[in-house]
Amino acid sequence: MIKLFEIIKKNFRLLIRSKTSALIVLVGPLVLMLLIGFAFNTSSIFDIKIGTYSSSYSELSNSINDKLTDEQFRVLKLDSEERCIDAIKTGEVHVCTIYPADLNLQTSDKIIFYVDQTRLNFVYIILDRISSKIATKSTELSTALTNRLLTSLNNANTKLSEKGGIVVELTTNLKDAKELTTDIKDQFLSVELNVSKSNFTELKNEIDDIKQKENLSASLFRDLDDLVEDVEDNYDNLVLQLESVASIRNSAETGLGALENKLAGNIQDSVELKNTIDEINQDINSIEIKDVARIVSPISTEIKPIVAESTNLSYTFPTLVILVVLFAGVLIGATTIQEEKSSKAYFRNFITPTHDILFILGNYLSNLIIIVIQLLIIFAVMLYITKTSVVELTLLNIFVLLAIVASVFILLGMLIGYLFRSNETSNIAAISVSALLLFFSNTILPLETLPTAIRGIVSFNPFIIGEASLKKVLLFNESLTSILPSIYTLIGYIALLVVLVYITRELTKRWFS
Amino acid sequence: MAQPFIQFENISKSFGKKVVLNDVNLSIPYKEIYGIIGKSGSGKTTLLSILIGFIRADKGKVYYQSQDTNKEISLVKQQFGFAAQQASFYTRLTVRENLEYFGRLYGLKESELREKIPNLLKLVNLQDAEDLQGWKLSAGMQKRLDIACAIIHDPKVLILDEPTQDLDPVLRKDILDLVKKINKDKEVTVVVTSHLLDEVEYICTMVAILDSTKIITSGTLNNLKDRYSKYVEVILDIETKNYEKIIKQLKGKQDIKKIVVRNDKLYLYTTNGENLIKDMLAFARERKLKINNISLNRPSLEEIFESLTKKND
Repeated sequence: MIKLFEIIKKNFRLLIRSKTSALIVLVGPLVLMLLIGFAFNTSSIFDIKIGTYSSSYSELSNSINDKLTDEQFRVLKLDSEERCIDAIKTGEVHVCTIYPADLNLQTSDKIIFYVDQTRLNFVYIILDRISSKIATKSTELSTALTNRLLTSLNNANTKLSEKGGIVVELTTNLKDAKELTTDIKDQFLSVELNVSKSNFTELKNEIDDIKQKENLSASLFRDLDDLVEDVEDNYDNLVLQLESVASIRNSAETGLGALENKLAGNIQDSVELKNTIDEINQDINSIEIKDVARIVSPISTEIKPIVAESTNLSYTFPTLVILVVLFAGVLIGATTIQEEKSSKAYFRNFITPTHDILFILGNYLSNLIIIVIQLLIIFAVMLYITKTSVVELTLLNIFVLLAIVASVFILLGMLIGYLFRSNETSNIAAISVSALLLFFSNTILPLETLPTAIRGIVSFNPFIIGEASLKKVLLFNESLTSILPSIYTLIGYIALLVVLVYITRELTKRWFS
Repeated sequence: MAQPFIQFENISKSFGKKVVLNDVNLSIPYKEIYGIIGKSGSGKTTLLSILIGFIRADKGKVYYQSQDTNKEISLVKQQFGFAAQQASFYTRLTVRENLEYFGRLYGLKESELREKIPNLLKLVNLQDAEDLQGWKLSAGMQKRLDIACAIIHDPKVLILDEPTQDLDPVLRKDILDLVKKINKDKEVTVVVTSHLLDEVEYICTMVAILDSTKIITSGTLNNLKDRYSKYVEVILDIETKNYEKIIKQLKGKQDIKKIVVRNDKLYLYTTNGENLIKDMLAFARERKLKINNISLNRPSLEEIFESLTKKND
């Protein structure tokens, strides 16, 4: 134990006395973290330049441009579509937006965006931000249109409701008229206009008899005959007139029948009209959502963070911390071993009665202490910048996890340090290995973009395991027990690396003989 | 016969296809300053590395006080001190911090270190530099600190690999005197390798010559000289320097055991030096050769080494 303490003490003395090493090892990551902290402590992205082109800008396209022009975006109107696309290639603008000529609501042409797909990590953010801005404008327009539509619908509903009573009244009137018509027709039908032709011959015979019997004067009889003749004529005329009336009555009856039928039809129609109006009213009334906003966007979505923090730093902090631990761990591990190996005293250490594992442990602990100091400062800076309060237990869990992750990277660095003879090759190897772990993580490209087989291998990347675990502990306040499989995997790496470091140290002894 | 303090028994070592040591046998007695001499690359450092257990021999064993060093590696580490060709300490630590650090690694307690370090600093004459960082020390001081680090734990055996390499003559003597002092004051057995034979002759009581992967001879200095001094050397300096012709003419002469040309002089080894001088003077007269100088000498270690190693070339 005393020997171990002496080795660690010696390592720190050497580190402090080598000012450049101390600067690189201690201050470097802290400055980096501080700068990152200030840079990422915002939820915005700034100074996105959008190039736009339209052969004829309309009020709508100009209003979209106005909408885009704010603190995040700068809109540059360019002369042609080609110029606009070239501007992306030269980096003058980030996105090129081509508006159709005279863009208006009746236009079916699309707004086209040109983006630089090579900026994978950026292009989707820009598209998302621009799309959301344009979607806002689109929603505004849609809201106005829907509003008009709804107003018309409401008016129709109101008017139909109002006029529904008239239709009912009309139906009643029609029914009354029909009944009246039926009565008139019945009355007509009840009028008997059939008269039988009276036999005036019998009357004349009677008059002749009377004339013969009573021996009445001929003039009297002539007058009587004339009178009978007149009555007969009048009667015939009356019969003729009655026949004419009967004919008229018959045609009136037919007309009334037709009228009655028509009225019945109209009643039917007005009933149907009423039903239709009722149905329309019912349909309109059955529309539950009459709120414009709800109709424009019937499914309301809101993206809510699962953590309370809202700045980019909060989201990226676990990745940044693991990144610092990765590079600091591997580089410190490799550098300290190289310094030890190139030290004049390296050989003397071998011949002292001190077990090799104690030197490995001493170096590892020295490096771990350095990383822990760095992490303490990083967390202090982070908490100061973001004004976040972290529960003590969470902080403890974070440090336990980070110590395990740092151990993997330190031992990896130490292995590299022992494997390579020169400082230069060791540093190149350390950076290459760190870069490899970084490239095959979620930081640069989502893992989902990798083929399944490679993804399976890459999922064992300690950087990924560490990052995912830290996110769980730091952002979701999960306990260490919930990430036990990851911790076991990392401990497995530590055990393997300790064995490899020991073997490599023993095998490379000969270089000094 | 007493058991040797350290014994190499049939040690062989190869690196890849290159055989560095082949069946080396050597006994080092207690309290001696034992020099192992050999040309550069002859395997001296490898032999010492095997002795301290830093590398393992392919074949053979090393015994320390009759114990197999491979099995008793902790004993070896505890009782052996080693100073390599290059000083081995932390240049960013002070003299005292280096001693404290290595003392701790040797298991010394703080109280022991408090007592030991001042004495040690005095012994190696670094008491005025104890707070100086290693890189600020002169070459001689660095070597002395290195030796101090090697003996912080009071080893029974001090192994020095080319201890005076890269030092000027004054510093060399300084270091050699220090080694002698350590040997005497602390009763430490010293094993030292060097290719500077005058140094070895200056400090060593016993010597082994390593050449062509083997120990070709070993023993005390006097013993070696006696062994190889049954031939005295007659040194002949002839004006024409035409030694090849002379050697041909001298071939077959019964009393000349060996002829070597060195530094434009002819070295003739014989059992009877005075007779040979007479013969050589007559030889020169006959052939009208002008002799600049002729002398009689007992061979130095360097000469013994050269004569022995040349045979194997």
